Amino acid sequence: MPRLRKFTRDTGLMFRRTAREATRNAGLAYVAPILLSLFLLVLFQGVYGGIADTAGWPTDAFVDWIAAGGVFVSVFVGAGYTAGGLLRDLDSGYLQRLRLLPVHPGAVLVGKVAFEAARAALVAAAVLALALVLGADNRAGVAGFVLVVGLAATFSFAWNGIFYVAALTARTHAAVLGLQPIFMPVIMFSTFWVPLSFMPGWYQTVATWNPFNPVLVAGRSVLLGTTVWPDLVIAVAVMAGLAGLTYTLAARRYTTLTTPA
Amino acid sequence: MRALVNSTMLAFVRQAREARRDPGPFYVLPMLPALLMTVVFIALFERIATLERFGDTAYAEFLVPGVVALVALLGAGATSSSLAADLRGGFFQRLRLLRAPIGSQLSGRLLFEAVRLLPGTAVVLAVGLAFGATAHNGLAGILVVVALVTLLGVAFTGIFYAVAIRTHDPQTPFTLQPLGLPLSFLSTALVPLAVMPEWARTAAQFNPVTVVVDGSRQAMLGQLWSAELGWSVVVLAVWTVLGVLLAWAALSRDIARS
Repeated sequence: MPRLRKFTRDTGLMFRRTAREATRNAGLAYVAPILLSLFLLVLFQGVYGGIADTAGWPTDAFVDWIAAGGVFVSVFVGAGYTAGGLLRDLDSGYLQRLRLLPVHPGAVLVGKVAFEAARAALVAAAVLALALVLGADNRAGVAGFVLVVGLAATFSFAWNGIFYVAALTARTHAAVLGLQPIFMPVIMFSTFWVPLSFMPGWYQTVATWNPFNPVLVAGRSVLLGTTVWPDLVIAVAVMAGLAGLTYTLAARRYTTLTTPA
Repeated sequence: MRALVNSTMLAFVRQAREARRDPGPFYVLPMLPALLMTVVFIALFERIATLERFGDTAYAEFLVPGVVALVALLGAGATSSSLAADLRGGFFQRLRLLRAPIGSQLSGRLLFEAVRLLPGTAVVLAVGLAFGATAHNGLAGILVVVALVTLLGVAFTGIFYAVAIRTHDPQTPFTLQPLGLPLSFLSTALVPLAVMPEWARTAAQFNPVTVVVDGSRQAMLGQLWSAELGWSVVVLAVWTVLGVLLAWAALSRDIARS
């Protein structure tokens, strides 16, 4: 069997193994990220929805503005799920046992990362559908829906690189869990809740330079039917940069851990 | 009675020692969400105060007496973890051999629960004042707000104790912490009722946190001794009694079973 086809088949097996594991643990893998994002959308719409009635607010309703952010929150909340699984495989000796078989160790990592992106797409689609039920706008129709879900899956792939580096470097579950709250300042200091014009000067500066902001702006602009192409390009570049850096480090560390001494 | 007071103080000191060994979860973590929300929400949502239905208070002035309640609501139940650990480790069984009043393990911890919220409450109020809040009644108003927040922390802890006692698991009570989010958001802690949509207004009107926050806001911005303050004391007293009864019932059942 050609090596590439064998690698693809092994990766598919690992993908399915991780998916089965996630099905058994659906609460953590799927339900919690959906519920938390929905919770955030509903609560903020209830409390601060009135701000859309103030002069200068750019959308018809507050939920139009925060819907894209809610989709990305589901990525943040669920992050580190498969990195934790990889740690369990390392600790239990599963990766050691795989070395007795003609399986490329990289297939484990690629299968898990691919599942992480697929899981994020499922969760993001559910959150976006619920946001639409709550009254959010999607002027780009099905294409817009698919593009935003695709952005969320790509962002999940990039963001989870940080968790893989932490898991493989520290080799403790505490390190993976401890990284979870870093998303809070990332979303708080972005245009997640209000546009730049509603922020004081110092806040505008921080939000403008926040690397997550172009991803958020791109996603929101797609839903509002005003796709900002430069932001979309910057968003893709940010995600490619983050993924390139983190997965290079993770792959190096993973190779060291899975190569016989 | 004297035995109960002595025992309560011993339990308080034991809990305080544990907190000194690991101060983060007891003193620092409870204030972080409220602190972050104070800074971020004043910066981002101050224009909501330009709505006619908001009233004529600046947003920072309105927010701070409310958001400070989040110190108690989002950082609640830290002492429930050690309660569960003591039950699991057989500490309560040993206490029974000594004929020590078992209830003091709850009262001592509840007392510490109130005291540990003091630094976080003070920091959030100080930062809020620096970001534009005002205290029309001076230090007296601030002290009343601090007292209400600590009492809210005590009242809310009862349910954490009941879960800790039922499960004997130090982690399980923390799964209740997200409860603080709807309790604080669907109240008048962040915006007045007039700004909320109908469904949120209805939820807020039946939320006991609304009464407490209204009392706190009156103490800081209106009259120091107001009807709102009186109602908030009544609500907190009832809430505390219910919480303690719930925890005590769980503890009595647990002791009877063992």
